[in-house]
Amino acid sequence: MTKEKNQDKVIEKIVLERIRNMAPNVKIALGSKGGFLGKTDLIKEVTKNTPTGKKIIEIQLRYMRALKEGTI
Amino acid sequence: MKKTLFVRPCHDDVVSYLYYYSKELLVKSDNKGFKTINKEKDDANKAVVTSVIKKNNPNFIMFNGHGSPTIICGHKDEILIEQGKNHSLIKDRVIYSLSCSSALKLGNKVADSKTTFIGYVNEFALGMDTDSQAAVHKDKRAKLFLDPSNLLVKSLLKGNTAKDAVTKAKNLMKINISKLRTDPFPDAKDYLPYLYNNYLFLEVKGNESATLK
Repeated sequence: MTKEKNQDKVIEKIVLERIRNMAPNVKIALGSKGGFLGKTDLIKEVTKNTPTGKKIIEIQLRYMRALKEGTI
Repeated sequence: MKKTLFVRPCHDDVVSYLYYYSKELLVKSDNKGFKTINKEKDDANKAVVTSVIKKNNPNFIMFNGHGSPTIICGHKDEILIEQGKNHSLIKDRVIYSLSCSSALKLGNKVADSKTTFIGYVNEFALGMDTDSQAAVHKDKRAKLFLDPSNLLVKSLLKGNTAKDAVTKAKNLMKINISKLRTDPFPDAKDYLPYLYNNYLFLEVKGNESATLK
């Protein structure tokens, strides 16, 4: 596994852990789909590496970076 | 008399939230003296919206619905505006597209000194609290996502510039992010990445100094 792929896997693991720790009442709508996604749906999107799953990873990653850099 | 047009489909859970929240904007627009045109539910279709724009030439249009970098959709996700096909329909006005990503390409395409396009250059995210699903108006989490959007439109209706309206909306997003960060309930932290996403990607293209005065 290349260094880049290994890094992607680590990021995916972190994001999945964050989603698993979500409160059960939270749902998120994203993209052009008409429904809200709960914890199970979000996990499915990320693990199946769908376009929505990729967007979820990007969103979580950007937020974590902002926290780290103190821009939020 | 200046005219406003609100396009408000209501065919799925997500656009139903946008439909509900944009309702107060019709009253605000009317109270501010605009001729307010509302095309909602199955009237938010391409034939009706195209005809209304051509006939009434509204100064401001708010689209609520799904989208992508090149399109804005209406009732049952029918494409209302598409880059390269009928994008000229929204030129020479102030547009606010509450939809995913439509500012990225479509917004850039129409933006010029006479056209203002306000929208999201990436996904627009919406959070909701399932405990409130039966009553949209009681969903305090969705309110944190949609109040800034409504403030943007109210600010335009008051006569503020497009740039100022976007700044006000972003400031409210920042306030709502801070509220969530200090909220003691366990679900609060889960909405933060998504509201921060909206904060990052709301943009104004074209004439930033445009007003509805």
